[in-house]
Amino acid sequence: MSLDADTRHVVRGNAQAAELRVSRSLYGIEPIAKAAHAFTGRCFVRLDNIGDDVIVTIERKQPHDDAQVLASDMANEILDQMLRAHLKAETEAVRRLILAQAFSRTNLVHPEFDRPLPTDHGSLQT
Amino acid sequence: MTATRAASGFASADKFSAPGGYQLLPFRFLRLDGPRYVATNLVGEHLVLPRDVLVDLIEGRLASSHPRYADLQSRHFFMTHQSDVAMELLATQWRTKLEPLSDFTSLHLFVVTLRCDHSCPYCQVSRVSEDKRAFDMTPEMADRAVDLLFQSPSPQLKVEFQGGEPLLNFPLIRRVVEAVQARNAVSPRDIRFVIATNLAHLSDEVLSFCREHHVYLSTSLDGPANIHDANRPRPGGDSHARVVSGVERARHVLGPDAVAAVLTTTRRSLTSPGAIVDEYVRLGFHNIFLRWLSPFGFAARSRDAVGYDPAAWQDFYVRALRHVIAINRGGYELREESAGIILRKLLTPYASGYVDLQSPTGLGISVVAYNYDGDVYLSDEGRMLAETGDRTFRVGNVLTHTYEEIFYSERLQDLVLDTMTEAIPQCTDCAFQPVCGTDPVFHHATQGDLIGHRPTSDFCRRNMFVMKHLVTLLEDDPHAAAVLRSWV
Repeated sequence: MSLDADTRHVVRGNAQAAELRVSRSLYGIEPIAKAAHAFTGRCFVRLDNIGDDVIVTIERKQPHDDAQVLASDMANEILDQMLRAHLKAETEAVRRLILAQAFSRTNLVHPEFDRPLPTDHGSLQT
Repeated sequence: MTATRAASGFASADKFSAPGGYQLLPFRFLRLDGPRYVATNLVGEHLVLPRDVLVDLIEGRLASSHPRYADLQSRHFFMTHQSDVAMELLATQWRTKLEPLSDFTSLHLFVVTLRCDHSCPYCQVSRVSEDKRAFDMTPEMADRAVDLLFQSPSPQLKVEFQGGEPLLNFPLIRRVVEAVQARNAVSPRDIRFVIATNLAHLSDEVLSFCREHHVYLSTSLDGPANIHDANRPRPGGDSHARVVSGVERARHVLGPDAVAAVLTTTRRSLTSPGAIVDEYVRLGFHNIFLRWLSPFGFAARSRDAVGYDPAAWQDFYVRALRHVIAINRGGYELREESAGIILRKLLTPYASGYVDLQSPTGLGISVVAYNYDGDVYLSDEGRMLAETGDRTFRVGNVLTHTYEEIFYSERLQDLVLDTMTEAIPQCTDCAFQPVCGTDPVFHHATQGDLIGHRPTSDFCRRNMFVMKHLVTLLEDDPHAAAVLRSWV
């Protein structure tokens, strides 16, 4: 599945309140929850489970906002959060290695560089 | 060594290579505007990318012939099977950024008095009367604070005298400077002294002392006389004239760079960004710090009179920065400090000592404030908040608490752990995480929570705006970009 696919969501409601229906198995709960959190400054948000779907109910905080527009923006944000989740999973192991390398006294990326030199009396050996 | 690697639990580098393709390295991204995204690598180096390139990159489809491929590789957004040196470089840069953490606490604020002759409506702490000895730090407290200062492991120390107006208790400043210099002669460290003063009481005696002991001055300049004097009322209404006179005398005696100035932006500043910047140039300053008004203490009560909403400040900032850049392009060097701090973090691997943009928080580990009554606070803003009765950031008293009780306290350790933006909701995914920080005092004062709620945080909104604005200038305006890069 392409992470840039169109959202399979349904937006309904009006300017004051709107509902966004998204598939949990397709998008994942973490991207949905993170996107919802990012919008808590502009609207009141509630998440409910219905079968495989998550229903995101949005109520605007400011009268100049349109809840349906906010719902559509949130759908796009869910896609960005999916990208982030994919990236995080893809790089988790290498992130741990870099972090370990940053604070290690031995070379974890290239252990062979830590072999003692002929004149070295083993001070680098652990 | 093999045993070591196995024991470490980490796979070797070759496990991360992707023959024929590339292995993504950790990075963050954020929508900049329209279809453009800003992406930062693990240590904050950034690139601006269209969304389709970002998606292709993350999905492993970016062709090596793509025009952004080399940029992304050179800035360590991915590595190929030909070279994994990026991992070692990122590790080194990461370590460089975090290195200052082990050398805590470098900035020590001595609030030698709360007395002041000014009655600024936004001032958090001052007491107008010049006669209230009850608001002066005692010599015993100052001596004990000097003891604490010398227990800090930091090889560089900065002693800053604050108030009120600290020159109203000049004998105590003299005592502290002489005591510090005498003790520092035994095992010398790099120690600098700054007096944060309105310059209204700058005597020849003070200037002579500053010259002899290499003491710098930092003053407040809010713009031309009509703005400055309205912001900073004092008997005679001559605050601005005294600043101008004081700056001239200080430069004459101490040298051209011995006095710096900081700006407090109030509501009446917002319509005059050009005039304010021009005043700094007229008085020969080469630095200006476009600061946002802190909503603490008395300032919070005066907010209706002098305060403003974040959007108004953003508009002011954009116009003032545009003018600063134009002045630079005209041949006069003028650095905007807040932009300079952000750009240094964005464009170099080095950290900044600026307390508000640190992760974890700089409270206690970068700065500590010894208040006039001997109480120890984790920051200047923390002691300002205390003047309204909120002593959340008090961690002891110089007369009754040891260094260990203050600086190794569970409370401070918890605060440090809780304020790492790497783990704060929304910050953890933000492209500006490596550049930004957290401000527990601000969030405590405005949201009732030390960490705060980022979607409604004015701290987040303001910093996000400034950072996006700077990245946009770097990307879209080559003339502005040349000036901005010169500030790093």
